[in-house]
Amino acid sequence: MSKCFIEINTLNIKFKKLLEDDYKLIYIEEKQIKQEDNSETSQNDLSLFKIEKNRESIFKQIVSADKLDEVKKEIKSEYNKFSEEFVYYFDRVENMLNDKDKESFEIIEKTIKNRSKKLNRTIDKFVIEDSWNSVSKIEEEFYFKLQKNLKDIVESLIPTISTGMRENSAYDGILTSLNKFLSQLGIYTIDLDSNKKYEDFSLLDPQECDDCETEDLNKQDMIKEILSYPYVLSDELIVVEGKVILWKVVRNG
Amino acid sequence: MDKLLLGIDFGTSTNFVTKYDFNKKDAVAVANMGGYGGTNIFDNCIYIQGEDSYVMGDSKKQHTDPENFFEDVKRYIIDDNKKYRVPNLNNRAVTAQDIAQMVFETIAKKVEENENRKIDGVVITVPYSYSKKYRQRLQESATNAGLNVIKLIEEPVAAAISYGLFGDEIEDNKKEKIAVFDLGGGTFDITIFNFEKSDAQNAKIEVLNTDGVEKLGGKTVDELLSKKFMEHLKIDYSIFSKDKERSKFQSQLNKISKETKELLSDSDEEDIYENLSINGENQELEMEISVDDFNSWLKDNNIIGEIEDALDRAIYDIDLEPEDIDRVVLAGGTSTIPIIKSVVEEFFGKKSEAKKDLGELVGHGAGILAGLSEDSSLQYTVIRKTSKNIGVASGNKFKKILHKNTKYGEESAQMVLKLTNREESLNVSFYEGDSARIEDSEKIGKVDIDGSDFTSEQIYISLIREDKKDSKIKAFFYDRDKNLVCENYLEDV
Repeated sequence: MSKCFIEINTLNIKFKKLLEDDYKLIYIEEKQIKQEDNSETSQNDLSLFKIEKNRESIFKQIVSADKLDEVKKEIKSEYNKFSEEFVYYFDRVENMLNDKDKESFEIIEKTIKNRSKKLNRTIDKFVIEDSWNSVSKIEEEFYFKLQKNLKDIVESLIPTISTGMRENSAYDGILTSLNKFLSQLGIYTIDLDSNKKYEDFSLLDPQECDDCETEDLNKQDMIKEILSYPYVLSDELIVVEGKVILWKVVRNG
Repeated sequence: MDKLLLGIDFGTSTNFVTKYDFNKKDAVAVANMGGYGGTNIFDNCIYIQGEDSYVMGDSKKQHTDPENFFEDVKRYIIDDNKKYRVPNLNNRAVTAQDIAQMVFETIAKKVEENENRKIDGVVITVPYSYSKKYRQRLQESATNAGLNVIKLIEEPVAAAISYGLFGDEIEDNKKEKIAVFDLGGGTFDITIFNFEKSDAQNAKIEVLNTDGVEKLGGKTVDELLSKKFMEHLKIDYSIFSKDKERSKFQSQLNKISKETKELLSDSDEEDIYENLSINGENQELEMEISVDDFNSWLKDNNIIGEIEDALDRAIYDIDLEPEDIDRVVLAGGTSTIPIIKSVVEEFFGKKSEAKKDLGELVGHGAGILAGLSEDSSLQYTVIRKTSKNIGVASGNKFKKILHKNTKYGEESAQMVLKLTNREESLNVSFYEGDSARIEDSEKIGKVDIDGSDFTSEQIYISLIREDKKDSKIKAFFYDRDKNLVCENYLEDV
C-alpha cells in the first residue's frame, strides 16, 4: 500500500472519529454498490440490523413518580436527535442519490416527522392514575403505552431502509442512526436460528409467503427465512417481533 | 376448600376466563390462558398437535401448519355439514362443535393445572340474539369437555351484573332502569334492564328488552375508513395483479384504519402518513382527517342511523321514554368512539358510564354468576326474557306463540291452530325469529302428537321457556274446549 494511501486512510479514520465523537454525526463511507441479492448477502445485510444490549431499559429509570418526566424528556430528546441527524444526513448525501433513492429518503423523512408527532402526543398524554400504587406499575403502564409507537417507528422505517440497502449503502447511515436511537432506550435485537424448532412463537411474526410449503415434517415450526430480528427491552418485553417466513407443512393424499 | 367456579366469555375472536374469589366476593381474571403476557384475553383458536393434545390461543400456528389449525369455531358451531379433516388426528373429520369441545377441554386442563384442583362449574356467555340451537350446541361442547355447565348467560346480562355489583355505583334499596349499550368488534346489542338492589348482598335483574344489529361494530368502522383511504388514493381492488398483493394491501389498510379509529377517539385531527406497497410500487397515503370528517362519514354511511334506530326500538317498543332510563352503561370497545358515545348520551339525555376494561366486562359478569350459584352471602336473581319470538308456520307466514320479551317460566297465551288431519302421528314444527315470513325464521324443534287424542281439528297451543338450567322450551296442546291434552319438550331438528 502506498504511503499516500495510508496517510489518506489515517486522515479518514481521524475525520470519522471527529464527526462521530465530537459532532455526533454520521460518517459517510463510500462503498462498492452491492451485488444482486442472494441468501449469503441477505444474511450479511441482516447483520447490520443487529443491536447489542449495552444499556438498561430506559423505563427502568422510573424509580419514582418524579423521574417519569425526566424519562419522558429523554425519549423525546433521543427521537429529536435521530430526526435531526436524518435531516442533516439527507442534506449531505442528497446529491449522491438517484431519483428513486431521493424519493425513498423523502418517504423516510415524512415518516420520521409523522411518527414524531404521534410519539410526543402519546408521551404528553400519559399521566399517572391514582389507582397505580407502585413505581413498577407506572413503568409497566408507560411501556405498554409507548410500545405501540416504538413498534410503529421500527416497522414503518425498516422496510424502506432494508429495500434501499440492497442497492445503495447510503441507507446504512439511516440504519446506524435508527439503531442508535433504539439502543439509547435500551432496545436490542435477538438472534434467530433457522435450524431451531420453535415451540414458542412469541418472538416471531410469521409472514405470508407463496413458496414455503414443504412435505418434510421435520421442518415444522422451523424458520425458512429471517426477514428481521426481534427488538426487545428484556426477555419478557418484546417491542417488535422478528419477521420470519416459516416452513408450512402440507400433506399430500 | 372453596369450589372452583369459572366464567367463560366464549367470543367469536377472543376468549376471556374468570374465576370466582370467595374472599373478595368478586370474579378475577384467570391469567396466562393463551400464553401471552400483558393481557388475559386470548384468541379463540386452537392448534391440534395430536389426540388430546392442543395449543390454544396462538394464532401464529396457522402459518406453520394450517391444516391442523382452527379458528372461527363459534360462527360454525351449528353447521354439521362443515367438516374438517385433521391430519394430526389420523385424518379424522371433525365439526366446529368438536373443535369448540377441544377449546373447552384445553381451558379446563390449563385452569386445573394452574389451580391444582378440579373445576366445579362454569357459566358461559352467549350473545343475546343467538338461537336455541346455538346455545344447545355450545352447552354440549362444554359438557362433552367434562365441564359442569351451571348455566349459559346472555352477554348483556353478564355485563350488567359486572357493572351493577362491584363498584358501588348503585345505592342500596334502589330500583333503576339500566341500558347496556354494547358495541363490540362485530356485533351491537342494546339491552334494557330493571335493576333492583336491596343491599350489597341482594339484587334482582329483569331484562325488559333487547335489540341491536347483528353485523355492526368496530369492523364496520374499519371497513369504512379503508374505503375512504382507497378513495383518497384513487384506486380500487381491480388494480392488483395478484391476490397475494391485494390481501397484503388490505391488511396494511386495515391496520391503518384501526389505528386511525383509535387516534380519532382521542384527538381533533389526525395526520395520516403511510408508505404503502401496490404491486411492488411505493404509494404514499398522506391525509388529514378531522373528527368532523370522521363523524360525517359515520353518519353518511348510516352507522349512526342504525344505532339510533336500534335505540328507538329498544326503548319505544316497551313503551318507555329515554328519560325513564336511570343509567346508561357502555360496554365493548367501539362504544367509546366520541360521536357514538354522544349519540347515546343525547338519546338518553344523560352521561354514560363506562369501566376501564370494557373487553373484560362480560367475562367478569359470568364469573360473578358462577360464584353466585354457590355463595349464599350474595343473592342475585336474574329474571330473563326470551330474545326472539317462537311460533309455528301458517302457510308462508310465521305465527308467533311465545312472544319476544316473555319471562322465562311464563306460559304464553294459547294460540288457535287448525290440524290438517287427526292422524295418530302428527308432527308440529316450531320456529324462532323476528320476521313475519317463515322463510326468515329458523326451525328450532318439533313435537310429535297423536291427532286422534283431540276431539276436533281445532286445537290450541301454548309455549313456555323454562327458567331452569337448560332453558328448555315446552309445548302444551289443548283441545277445542281448552282442556290440556298433552305436553312435550321441543325435540331438536
